[in-house]
Amino acid sequence: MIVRDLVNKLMQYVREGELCSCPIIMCNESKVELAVFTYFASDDVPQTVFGYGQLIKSNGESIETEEKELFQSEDELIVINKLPIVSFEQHREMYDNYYSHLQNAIDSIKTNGAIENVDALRTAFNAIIPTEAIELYKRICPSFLKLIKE
Amino acid sequence: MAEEFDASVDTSDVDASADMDTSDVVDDVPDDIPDDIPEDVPEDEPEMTEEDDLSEDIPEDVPEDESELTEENNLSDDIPEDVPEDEPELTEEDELSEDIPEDVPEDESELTGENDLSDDIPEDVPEDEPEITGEDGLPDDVPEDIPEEQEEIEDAFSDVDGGDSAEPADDAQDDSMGDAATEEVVEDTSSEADSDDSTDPTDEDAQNEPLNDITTDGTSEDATPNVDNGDTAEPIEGTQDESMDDAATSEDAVNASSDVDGGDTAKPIEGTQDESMDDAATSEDAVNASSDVDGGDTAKPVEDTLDKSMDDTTTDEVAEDATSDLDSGDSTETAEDTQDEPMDDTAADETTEDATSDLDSGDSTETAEDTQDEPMDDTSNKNSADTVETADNINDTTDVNEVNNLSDKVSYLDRMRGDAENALAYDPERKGDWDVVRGRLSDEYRKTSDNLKTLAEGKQAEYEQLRNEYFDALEGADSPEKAARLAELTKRGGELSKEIDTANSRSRYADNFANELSRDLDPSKRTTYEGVGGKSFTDLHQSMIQKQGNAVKDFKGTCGDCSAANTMTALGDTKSEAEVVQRARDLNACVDKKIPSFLPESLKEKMRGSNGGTSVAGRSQILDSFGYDCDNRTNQSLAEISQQIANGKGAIINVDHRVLNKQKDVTAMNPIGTDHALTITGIEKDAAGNAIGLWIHDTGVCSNMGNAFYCNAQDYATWRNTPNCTVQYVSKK
Repeated sequence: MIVRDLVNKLMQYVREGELCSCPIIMCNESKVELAVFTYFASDDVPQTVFGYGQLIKSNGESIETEEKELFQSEDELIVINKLPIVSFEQHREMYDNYYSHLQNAIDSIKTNGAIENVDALRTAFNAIIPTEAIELYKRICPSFLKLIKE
Repeated sequence: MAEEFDASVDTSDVDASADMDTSDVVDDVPDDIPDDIPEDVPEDEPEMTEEDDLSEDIPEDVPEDESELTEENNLSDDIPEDVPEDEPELTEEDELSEDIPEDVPEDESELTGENDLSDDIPEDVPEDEPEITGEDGLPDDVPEDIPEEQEEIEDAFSDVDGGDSAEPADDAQDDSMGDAATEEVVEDTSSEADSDDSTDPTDEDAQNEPLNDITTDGTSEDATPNVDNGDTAEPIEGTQDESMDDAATSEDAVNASSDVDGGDTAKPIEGTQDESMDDAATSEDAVNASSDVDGGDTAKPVEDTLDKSMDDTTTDEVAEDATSDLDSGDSTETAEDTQDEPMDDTAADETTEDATSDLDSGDSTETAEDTQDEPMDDTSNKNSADTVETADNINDTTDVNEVNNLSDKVSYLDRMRGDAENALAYDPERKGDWDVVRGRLSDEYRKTSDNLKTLAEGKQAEYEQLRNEYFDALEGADSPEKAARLAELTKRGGELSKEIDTANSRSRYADNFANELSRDLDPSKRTTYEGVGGKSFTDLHQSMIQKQGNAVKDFKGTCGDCSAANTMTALGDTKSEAEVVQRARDLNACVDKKIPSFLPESLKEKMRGSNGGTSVAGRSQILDSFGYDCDNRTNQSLAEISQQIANGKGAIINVDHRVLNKQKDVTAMNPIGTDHALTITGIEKDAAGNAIGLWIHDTGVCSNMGNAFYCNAQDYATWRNTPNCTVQYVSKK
């Protein structure tokens, strides 16, 4: 499973109007999948997230999409006060770094059953995702946060 | 030749309508008119004689009128000589009153005082006006047209002379125009006997010689507007309205005269508003202006009319104009039409039709007062107008459509030019883009102009043939069949004449901008356009969905659906936004969320803007369902895109919408940098055939360049660097 290629395939399922999560690892029994989820949020800052779009995942072969729901009450809204905006070049560097650690993690899980350098992966993830936005991941993929010891 | 034939044609038309209208008017008039007022003149005559004393107030020569106008509006002096100078004054200082169409009398005072016109200005107009009147060099375009229309302008002013109903007969005779119409106008307005004379022969002749009758009726009808000249406020309104029109220099002149001539209080307002919005109306307006003069020919002997009927182009329009004056009851209808038209891409076409509908709707017997009392009751008038208009055009739909389609194309180019000019022309850093764009638009204006010329030539030949048929028919023995045939030929000739005028006018207009836009461009650096499917630039853009989100309620994020539809359209199919969105929903290939009620309105609107959103994969699925293959590729070069288009493929590109406005950053949280789909309509190539940029159709109108814009190589490099930027090549299976 080549992370970069698979991410590009997953991205082709993200629809206009949807924001996309950072790619994550989802482990189900012996199966390792790469996934992203989409969500809807306001354009302004603080950014208000008001629901999810879909969960898109792949084990390297087929791609599955699962429609998610918008939040059903005001209590579920997530507010992100700090929204990092970066140049295209910075963006590319940040994700290149993250994808390389993600590739290592997937490879090590497949070979050893665990992530060898989890601190590096967590650091790369946190560089992209601000603390306030972690809540998004807690609701959709808590297992990934547990995996990276976030 | 066309003009000559028009005269006869219109004359007959006039007869037909005039008979009816005249009688109708007479029936209506008695309620409102003092006993001593001529039947022709009823409503306005008292005002003129009591308050305005037109013989003194109305200029013996035009310049005096103009100076009066100039005092308040500072417009009249510029009209014939330099329209552009007037426009800035209007757009900056004057605001078009919303009341104009609603209440003419009140507006007149408002207009003269505050010139509050802005609300009525169509959305199109402000964009165009700066281009023409601004400092960008385009304003010179219009003046180039002026010399050709100078005669019309002069006619218009001579018309003013003739229109001075209160002007002594001697003055009329001394008028440089030496037009019989002038005398008649005076006679009509000053005495019942005169107007009666003009009517009586008409009735007699009507049975034997339709053409003669027509002119006679036209005379009586003409009398009405002339009588109305007394409305001193009209010229002010008219002048203000006229200056709104960037395109029609001749219109201004015409309107200036019609202000004096057009006695119908409501009519000048309608007419000028229509004209100002309509680029296409230049020639027609000019014709209308001279119509008063021509209408004055009514008094000519019947033989004279017969002999010369074919020599007077304007007679046709005159007849109609006269009718429309009588039909001033339609003023509200026209006002409504005018307000609607600017919002419509097809305004130019409809304007022409409106002119006809005004005439047609003129069947109503309402007097000017009636019109003013019911300004807001548009519905009935509009319906009747539509009905009659349809009937009138039923035999000529195809021909009219040809002219209208080309006229639409010119209007579309106007809008593109306005958008591009605003975005590029004043930015030194974008001079290169502006040169490419103006070269492209210049070529398109030229092509359209050439098509219009060709169309006009064809119609001219048809007109000549009709004219010969008309003379042949004249030689036959009098009979109902002959009369019917002559009437038919006359009507068709009139229609043809209008179409020829419109085509020629629009052609000249397009030529002006073709020349102006290409001014100072280095011919060796001129570029060429290669469109999807080998189609022409304007045809491609014009045939596409212009703005997304209008087809399905709560589905406004349909850029991908529209891009798919537009690409299929470019490749030969015609798909609507609604059709594609429905297919996307059926395939679960788009965002389709029910909006939670607890969300604040801003987030609800955000969700509406997301509904309909498609992904690259989703669009492939949608296009596949319509019978198209999608080849999705990232990191595509201009040359690669060019090659694919040359191979007959359409193309959709994903970008971050913010790059369209030169933003080069992205949200770190979001690994995908694209959120907007655009249609690539073609490639711009340099003289050596190398791709130097893309032409884009953006239904989201996310940039300041409008929905059709040019993306140069440097900008495309930015797009290409957008994370996950994908080009979808589309081809029919």
